[in-house]
Amino acid sequence: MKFKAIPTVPLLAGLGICLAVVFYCALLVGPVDISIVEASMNWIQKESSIGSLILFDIRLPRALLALFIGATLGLAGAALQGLFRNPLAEPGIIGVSNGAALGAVLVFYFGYANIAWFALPFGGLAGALVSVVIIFMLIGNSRSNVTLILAGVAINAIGGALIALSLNFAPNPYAIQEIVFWLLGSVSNRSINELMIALPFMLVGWGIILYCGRFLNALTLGEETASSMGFDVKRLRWTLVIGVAASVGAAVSVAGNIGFIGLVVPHLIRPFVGHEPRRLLLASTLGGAILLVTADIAVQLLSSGGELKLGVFTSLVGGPFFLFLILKTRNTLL
Amino acid sequence: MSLLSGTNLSYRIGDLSILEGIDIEVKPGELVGLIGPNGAGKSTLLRLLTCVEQAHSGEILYEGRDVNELSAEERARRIGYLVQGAKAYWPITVEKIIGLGRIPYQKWWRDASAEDDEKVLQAMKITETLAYRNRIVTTLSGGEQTLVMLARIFATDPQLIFADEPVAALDPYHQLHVMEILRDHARDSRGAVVVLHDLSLAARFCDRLYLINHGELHCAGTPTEIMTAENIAEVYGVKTRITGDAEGVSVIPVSRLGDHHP
Amino acid sequence: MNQQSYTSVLSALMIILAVLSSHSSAAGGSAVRPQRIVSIGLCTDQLLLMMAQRSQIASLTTSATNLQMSYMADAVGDIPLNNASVEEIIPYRPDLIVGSHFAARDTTRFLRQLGYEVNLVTLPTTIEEIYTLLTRFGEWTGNQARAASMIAKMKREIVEIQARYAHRPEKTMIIYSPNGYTIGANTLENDVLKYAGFRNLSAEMGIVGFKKISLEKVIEARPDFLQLDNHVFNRDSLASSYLGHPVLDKLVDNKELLFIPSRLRACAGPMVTEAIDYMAKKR
Repeated sequence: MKFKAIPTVPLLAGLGICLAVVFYCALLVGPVDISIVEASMNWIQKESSIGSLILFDIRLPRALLALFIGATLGLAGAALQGLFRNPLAEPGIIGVSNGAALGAVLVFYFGYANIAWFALPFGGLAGALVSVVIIFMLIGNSRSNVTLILAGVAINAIGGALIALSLNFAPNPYAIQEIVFWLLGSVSNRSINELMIALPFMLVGWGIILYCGRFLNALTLGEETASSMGFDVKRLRWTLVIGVAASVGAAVSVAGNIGFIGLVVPHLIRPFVGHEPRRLLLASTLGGAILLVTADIAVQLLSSGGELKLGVFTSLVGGPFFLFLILKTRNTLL
Repeated sequence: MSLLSGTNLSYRIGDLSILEGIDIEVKPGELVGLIGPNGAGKSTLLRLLTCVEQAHSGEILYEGRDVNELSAEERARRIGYLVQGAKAYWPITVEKIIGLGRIPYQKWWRDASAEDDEKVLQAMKITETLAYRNRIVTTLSGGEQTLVMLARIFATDPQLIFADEPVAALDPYHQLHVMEILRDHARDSRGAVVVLHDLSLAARFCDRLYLINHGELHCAGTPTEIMTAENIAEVYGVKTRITGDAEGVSVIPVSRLGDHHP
Repeated sequence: MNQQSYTSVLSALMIILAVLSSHSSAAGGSAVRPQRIVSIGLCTDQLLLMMAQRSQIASLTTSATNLQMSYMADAVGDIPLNNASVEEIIPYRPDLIVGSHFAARDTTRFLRQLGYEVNLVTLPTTIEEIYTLLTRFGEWTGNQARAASMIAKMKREIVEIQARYAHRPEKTMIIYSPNGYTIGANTLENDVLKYAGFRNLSAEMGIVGFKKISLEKVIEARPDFLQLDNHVFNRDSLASSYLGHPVLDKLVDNKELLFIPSRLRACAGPMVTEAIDYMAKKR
């Protein structure tokens, strides 16, 4: 082992400081030069200035959305890897994100999003849940990478095709562009409204996942052992899956499918928490937030027009990483 | 009062009967061996006794109390279950793995207490794993890993240990080591149930044996009662030479019997 | 794909015509007045309805009856409709097919291979080009006199409108469209804004044509008017969600949101003067 585990408090504090720094940087980045101090003063004095509008109505919601979605994806990745006891499990790779996107697409484009504030994230949750159920049915008790990835490929393909199909049938002239959004994800031009509808679901999902932390630790020794240690494995597995579906479903329903965060983050953090699944959860939450906020800064710096989707960037970085992980784990897990 | 008693236990998968009407008992201070051919239902019986699986009929009592009346936490504190081929799925340090044994005593938000640390230390002493407490468990040898898995169980400080073929892949040194640890555990108010394929080890270490065949109890009793050439021939389909000395009974398989279809 | 969707957005948003080009000389020289004209584009639908004899029109597209998009929707009556597919067009035995330049290329190529005369119009980017378009369309359909009178009427109307609102001060404006696009210089919209007495801030930022604009830039520019392009305003699309961003409500707190009915803008023709009037009135 190259890295030594770091105690919980310093680790989380360090990650928290990193997050604060990148979050502040995210507020600085944009096509218009504004003074954060001045804009904040205006805001406190309830004066509506250009600076305060840009800072509090455009940049802050965007950065917060990137933060919460990144955190959700990092946490969900760590949770799924613990559950499947496989470092390649990730919401995007195993098809949960596409399932969530499909659910959200059906709600959004066929006019159900306005029925209630929770309709959209609920659609995402339902889609995510259906895809995890299918994953479970497909892989059974297998821990093989091949089975998991093949199941993910199948679900991703079906999910992607159904998204395209629904958008083609939807009364919407921008279908092609919007398919790209759902498959590649973005937090640009999203407002505080999107954050507010997704946040309750994400937070509930986080709570559920964090509650299952001990269970994930026990799963280190396998399901039978965990069961003998007093865990109702079947019930907890469902609980965890619902937590993942709620948080990822909500995240995807407002920002599309942003891939690989849940794969990269837990892997990078795992050595620092001594590979302990429960300690990995909070650290990956912070790590995911850091990574996605950073990625969103990069996307804005690389293309001022906003044409580059956040998901394109995370996939460009995460894809090769995924291949590297496959090579690395090929011998031990196949 | 017996530590554990199971009465008339049955288990089916679909229409297939795996176990039928098994009665089993563990008295305080007893090391009980479960023996029988592959597929006889020994592991299933352990899963029923540890409440990992629910029996389709029958009753299981821990110290006279129905297991269904105990909370999951209470059950978990009373028992330790070493599954067949137990291993860790993540490269965690030995100490962390053993610490998992304290989970039944911890609330979900709490980290290890001083008492937890003490129990972990004790468990490492019992199993002689102290020397590699900071090593990564997946880098250890098979024998060392089994000892670590046993230590995890000792950290729980259970009354009853259930071990499914704990010595299956071990060298003679580690076989004896593991059996001695189990033997030492099964004293006073404690007990253990161990599934074994090595009949000599079973005969030497266990106080009583249950010989299981085709999901039914063939016979139960002390090693000398059970280890007869007739019993072994009938259940395993092998001819054996059974010798006794000061250390106990040795069972040496000699040849297969032609007409046996397990 | 990007280029294509860009084009399709263009087409959806500002279907505005101009004269083409490769076949114009052949069409212009034709002495016979076409009697079975089929239109395969929304703009040519409207031009036909405004300029040609009803007896000349064999078929229009289904969009022609769309009240939101077509200025001439009421005038369609019992004229048969088509979906611009080759199979539907051929039975009319058209002697002239008209459509927009960005119509499906495969369809037009196929029709030409089959020997039909297909005349396509391209986007005029100035009012001046509309006059040229009307003249050319009059020649194609044999309605030269009608075209001339339409042009004269347009010119008269524009002079009137400008005189009527000359006393009002100049105002600034940004057009904000679905997906965060704006309309800059070298567009008919820009010309319309100019004639209506507005400064198009997008054009002043150096944006040419139909381009993405950052929401931050819109806020920074603080236009007096924000024209939310509601051509296909439909809340159930991400594209339209750009227009629903809460910051826009704050920005235009004391300003005005301006919605020009799409039917006035969706095509370049005499109705452009109505659009100029509509905008100038709001100034």
